[in-house]
Amino acid sequence: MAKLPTSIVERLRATEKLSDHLDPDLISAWVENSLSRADRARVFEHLAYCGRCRDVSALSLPDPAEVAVSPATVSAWLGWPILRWGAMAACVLVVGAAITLRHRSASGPRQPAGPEIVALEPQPSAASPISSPARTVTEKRDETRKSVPGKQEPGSPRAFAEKSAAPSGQSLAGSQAAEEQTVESAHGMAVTSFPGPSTGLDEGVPGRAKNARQVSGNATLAKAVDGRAPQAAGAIPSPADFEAGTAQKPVPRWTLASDGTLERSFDSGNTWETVPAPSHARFYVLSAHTMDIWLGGSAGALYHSFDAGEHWVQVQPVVNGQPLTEDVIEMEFTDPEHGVVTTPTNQKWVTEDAGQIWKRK
Amino acid sequence: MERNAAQFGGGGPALASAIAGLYERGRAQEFGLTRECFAQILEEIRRKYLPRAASETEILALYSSLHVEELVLARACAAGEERAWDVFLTRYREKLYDIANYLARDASMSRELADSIYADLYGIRERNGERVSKLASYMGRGSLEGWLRTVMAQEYINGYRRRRRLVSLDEEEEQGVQFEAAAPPPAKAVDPCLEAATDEALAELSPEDRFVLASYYLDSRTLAQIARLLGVHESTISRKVDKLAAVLQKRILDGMERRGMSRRQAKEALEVDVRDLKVDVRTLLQGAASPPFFDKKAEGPLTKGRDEQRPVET
Repeated sequence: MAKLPTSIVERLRATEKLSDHLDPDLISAWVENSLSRADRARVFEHLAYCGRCRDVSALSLPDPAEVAVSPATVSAWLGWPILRWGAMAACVLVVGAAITLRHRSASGPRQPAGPEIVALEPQPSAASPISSPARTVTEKRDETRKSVPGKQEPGSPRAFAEKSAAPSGQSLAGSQAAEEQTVESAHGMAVTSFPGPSTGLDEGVPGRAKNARQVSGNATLAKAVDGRAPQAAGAIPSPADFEAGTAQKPVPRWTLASDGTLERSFDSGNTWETVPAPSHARFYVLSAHTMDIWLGGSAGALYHSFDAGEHWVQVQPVVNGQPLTEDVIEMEFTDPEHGVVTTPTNQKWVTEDAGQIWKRK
Repeated sequence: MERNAAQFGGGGPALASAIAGLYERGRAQEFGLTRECFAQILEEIRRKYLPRAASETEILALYSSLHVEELVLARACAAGEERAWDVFLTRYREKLYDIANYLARDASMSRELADSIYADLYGIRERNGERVSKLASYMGRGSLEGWLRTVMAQEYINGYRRRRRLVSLDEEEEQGVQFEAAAPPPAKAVDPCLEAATDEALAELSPEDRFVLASYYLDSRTLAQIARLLGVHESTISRKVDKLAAVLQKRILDGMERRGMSRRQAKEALEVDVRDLKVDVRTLLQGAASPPFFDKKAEGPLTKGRDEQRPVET
């Protein structure tokens, strides 16, 4: 473990504050994770500076040997916050299904259900020089991409770029062999690989990107290649594919193991299941809010899922034509919309709309 | 439902309807709690946790997050309802002693702790002729079991501090505490520039990050304990602590540079702290190639004669 110099520890101790202590209700509710986000933040603000309340909260943890899902805990899963988030997830699914159904005729057979990467292809705006129609993954894979010099509106941030989820360090080979290799090496996850050294549309398309929740009628949900049925690439998820039932599942807990493996638990941490990573990038940080989760890792790898990891969207922050390429070592999303991503050189990339527009500080 | 809602005056119809629903859900009538009393309890909770100008939506959100059934049970116990006490004892008596055992780890101390809490919950003290029960302060934000655990943890910590102060004189004499010299104040070896940069960097930490650092470095909590508190994997906390330590040191170095120090000077100021030097003086002295006292030659007054054992005047 890293050792902090004594001078820092001394200042940490010296800056502790003495104030009114938290009442047992708040401490116990905080320990049980049953406070609202605002209340939880307020409790954190107090615990950050009050050693006594930290001691009390630590002692308030139940005996690990006796941890069990109590009836009260079970009822919490069915409480109003879960229903609220479930209703929101259901609305998102309905919108997504409506969009995908419109493009179903242009895509292949349906993909089997399971974790998938869904990469969104941003549509050119009216002011963009790019006027090519929406294309599916199948079509793009067969084409040779040209690097299209992007013509941005002055000051307009490049928000989203469709990017291959090929392992870092590998070139984005346009050959079928490279694609298949990428697909086969995925951990059961569908991985999209795009031919050409450039990512094609990502460089040429100004304007705002859309995420799956706000997909409008002219956006394409390009479904990734499925390792088992590559011919089905381009098929778009149907409502049944979203039958992950985010509205039915309890809110998961998340963790990243020491080797970067993503794990989630639906039973308060009693059991954990590995979630196939959306790419081969090494992931360092995650930020989760109920069903919404952000994942950050090496070389600017940034992924977002709004349905507890069932589907992922790769997010490529771009500011003034400069994409995020550094490792993501810190990430804080106060809610699904507002977040800050930090790199080792202390660059901060800020979004206020779930990754559509980014600012760099 | 409309008639019931009308009985809960105040607030809009939505609020009154929600309160009526909570009353039913909490089975308050079974424990002898009237609707008015129940509404007063909710009002007390609202005043404690929400500002006066809270919207109806916020109030509804607060009320809907409460553990209503347990709240009703606790408040009925505080009011002296026998049936409520029967239910409480059935559910929580064993748990009280289990929690005390987990905290105190000592049979006699855990028994003492559990009995003390039980007495406070029952309300053996009176104020203005009314029995004062600790259960009257339960607000239903968390589970009743969790609240009991926290109350016992507080009582355990308070008792631990009391016991530390109450040390017998005999024990002090035996341990030589009375004759122990006062510990010298720690040497102030911190550069003011370093201190300012450190305070600045610490102030920039998010509360959660500071909580993790304070828990690990000040409270000496294990990674596993911190992980359990935050509901994450232990490896996540391990990585977080490493990263925070690295980021903190980097920000402090940057801060010192902004204050006019060079990078090298800043690193030296941060890394070289006399308190970090672990110098074993005893070993150094024993290992020094120094001849025994009576073999030394021409070293001053002490060598004049073995019978002249005057202390060296300095």
